[in-house]
Amino acid sequence: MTPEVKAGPPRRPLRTALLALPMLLLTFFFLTGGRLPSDPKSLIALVVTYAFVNVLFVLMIHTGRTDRYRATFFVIYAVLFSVSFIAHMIDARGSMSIADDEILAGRTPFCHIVITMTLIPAALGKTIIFPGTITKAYASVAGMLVIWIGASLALGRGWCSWGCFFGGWDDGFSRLLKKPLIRNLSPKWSYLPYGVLLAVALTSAAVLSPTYCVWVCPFKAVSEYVPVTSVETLIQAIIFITLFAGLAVALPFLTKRRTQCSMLCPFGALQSFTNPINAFEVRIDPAQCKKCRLCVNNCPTFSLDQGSLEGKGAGITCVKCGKCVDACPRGAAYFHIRGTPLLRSAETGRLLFLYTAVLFMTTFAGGTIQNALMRIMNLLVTGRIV
Amino acid sequence: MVPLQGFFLGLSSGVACVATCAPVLVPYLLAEGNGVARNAFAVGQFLLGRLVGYLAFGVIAWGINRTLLEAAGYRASIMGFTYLALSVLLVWYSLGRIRTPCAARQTSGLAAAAGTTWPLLFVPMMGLLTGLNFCPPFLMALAGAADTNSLAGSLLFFAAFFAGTSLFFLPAPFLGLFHSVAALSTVGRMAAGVMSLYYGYAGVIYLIGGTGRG
Amino acid sequence: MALLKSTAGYAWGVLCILVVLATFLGHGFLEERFAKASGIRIHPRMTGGEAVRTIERGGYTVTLHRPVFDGLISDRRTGFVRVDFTREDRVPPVIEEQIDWDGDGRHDFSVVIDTGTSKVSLRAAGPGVTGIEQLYVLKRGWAVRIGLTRAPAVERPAQ
Repeated sequence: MTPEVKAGPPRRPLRTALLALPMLLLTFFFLTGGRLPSDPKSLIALVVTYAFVNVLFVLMIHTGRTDRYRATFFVIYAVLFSVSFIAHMIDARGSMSIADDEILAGRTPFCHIVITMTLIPAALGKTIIFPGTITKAYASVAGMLVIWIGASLALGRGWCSWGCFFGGWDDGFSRLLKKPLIRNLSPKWSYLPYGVLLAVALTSAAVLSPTYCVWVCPFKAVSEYVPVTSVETLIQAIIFITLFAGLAVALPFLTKRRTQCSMLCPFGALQSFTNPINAFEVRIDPAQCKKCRLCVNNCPTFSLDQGSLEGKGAGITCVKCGKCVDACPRGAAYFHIRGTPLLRSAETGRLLFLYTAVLFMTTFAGGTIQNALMRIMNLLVTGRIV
Repeated sequence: MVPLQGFFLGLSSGVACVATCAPVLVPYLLAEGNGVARNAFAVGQFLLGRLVGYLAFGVIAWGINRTLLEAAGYRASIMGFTYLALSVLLVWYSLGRIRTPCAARQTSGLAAAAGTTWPLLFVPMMGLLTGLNFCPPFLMALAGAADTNSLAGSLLFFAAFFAGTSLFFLPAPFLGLFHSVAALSTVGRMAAGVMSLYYGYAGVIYLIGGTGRG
Repeated sequence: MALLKSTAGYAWGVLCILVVLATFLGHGFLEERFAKASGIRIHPRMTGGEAVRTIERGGYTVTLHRPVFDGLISDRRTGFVRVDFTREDRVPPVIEEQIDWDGDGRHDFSVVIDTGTSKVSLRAAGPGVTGIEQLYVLKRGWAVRIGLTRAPAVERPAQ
């Protein structure tokens, strides 16, 4: 029997330490800003976050596995983001719901998904159809746009696996069962987010209102929402709660796929268009591939098909989670840097990608995670989360 | 120079008209996956439907007391039913993908009539229903047309208004430049399905009496 | 050629790390520069136009905002005007305020607010006022968006 080649042999400890050292230094710098906090709770939160991120990175380097450690961070980040965000809203307004004062004052936090709705008005009239603040505010419009541009250049649609603070929900629920209970979900459904993107971009421009935010977004269930004071807001609440329960909890649980991200999210659809111009991609070596289709069946976003196995690479919907790379028993799936020779130094491609992705993840999420940890400590010590 | 004023009113409102019609027209054009020439024909059919709607209201504006049409209850009912009809059409389209069947398959009967007639009427019907949405420029045109003294004047005013708005639809056929991207056809159908939900909801809300905002 | 492509590829990979560093290290600076260079602004339909007039009354203050007819590119025929009522110490049980939104010296509508129940009603005094679009109940008062339409300058034909 031909011995199977697993993805990436474990590294020697010294090599792992040397490869991890730059990340240890960079994450320390970004998480502390150059100064250690004096307050004990802040210090504990910092140390825990720093250790958490770097232990995961070291494990990724040492074991050659990507997805299981990435997912650990990603899922915990999603939960802690909700803790931090909701607590922040209660601090600022006294409630998780969006107060009228906040809307009129333009203090609604700008989330990346809104970008899909602002495209046409911003392009035609330089206006943002969202009641936010352009600069110098919590989740300001310009601030979020800068991060989006940086993420698009560095990660492409890898944002959906390494940056998005909502994606961890369906990613987490998709991992609970060992085997899917619903297997034959048609990959055609992966076109739906593009339909949603087209519909929300056009309707938002027509009615000058962020229609996806107002009517659809399932993640209002774990962040903020308009209070239910009328028939219309009641219908909106029913929609988003149902969509969260269905697409972010139930379907991922049953199918072991990221159904909200791959079948609804218009931002993911938009982000797909940055994949072809991103340095990193996932490729499959047809010579090594034995057509077991483990990668195809494991891909959470339907990004692999027969063509991918024959050398085309993953589709534009690939979120660069690394699940196919880890699942492949022969090491045929690998991270690749465009322009570089195929197959040669596949591990270099993965390493460079990991440096980019983990650094982004730490810097973007680190502050939120520390804040959430401090609030949890507060809750345990004083009984109050705010 | 009343028709000229109608034309200029249409020109000044054209962007809003395109913005209102685009959520219906763009998914259809993408879903069909046709080239520029076929798309131009489809856009022409769509505009024909709008024109029929406009001219019909031109007749009504001249013949019936305008204030009756503008009364909120009538407007809401008309818009509610047109939105629901649009929703049904879009669901039918996104799920069924209407195509003219081969004439040799069926030569008589209801099925043949439905198969060969309905697809031809589908796009003009979409145009008619989208145009009947009492959008603000339409209301202004209604006011303008009703103030003319003759039926011909009323029709001419609406036709000129229609012409003014239609200029903004000229770029639409060029979506056909992307017809070689097969995935866009599926995306267009899915977008049509999503829009059907939006129009279905809007129609129901109009019929039950407004948005119910607190 | 292959070597050049390969070198460029790896350089591109390294550049991505630098992009991440630059994004976060220079975030504050980039945010300001981006906002200035792009010229983006919040669409006035989101929050209402700028405040143009403030009227002090006994017990409350009325702030009239610029009427908003802004559309996607050009103005639309329909719009709204936002009127704020800010509660002072002794707000009367009912506020009734006549508003002249277009500054022609004639009042266009009256807003009546029951300050106890926050119920609002509107009395239009002229054409072009379509109704209450939205009522906001604020911590220190109320804000009302009144829908407006602008009639086109259509010349009436000679009789």
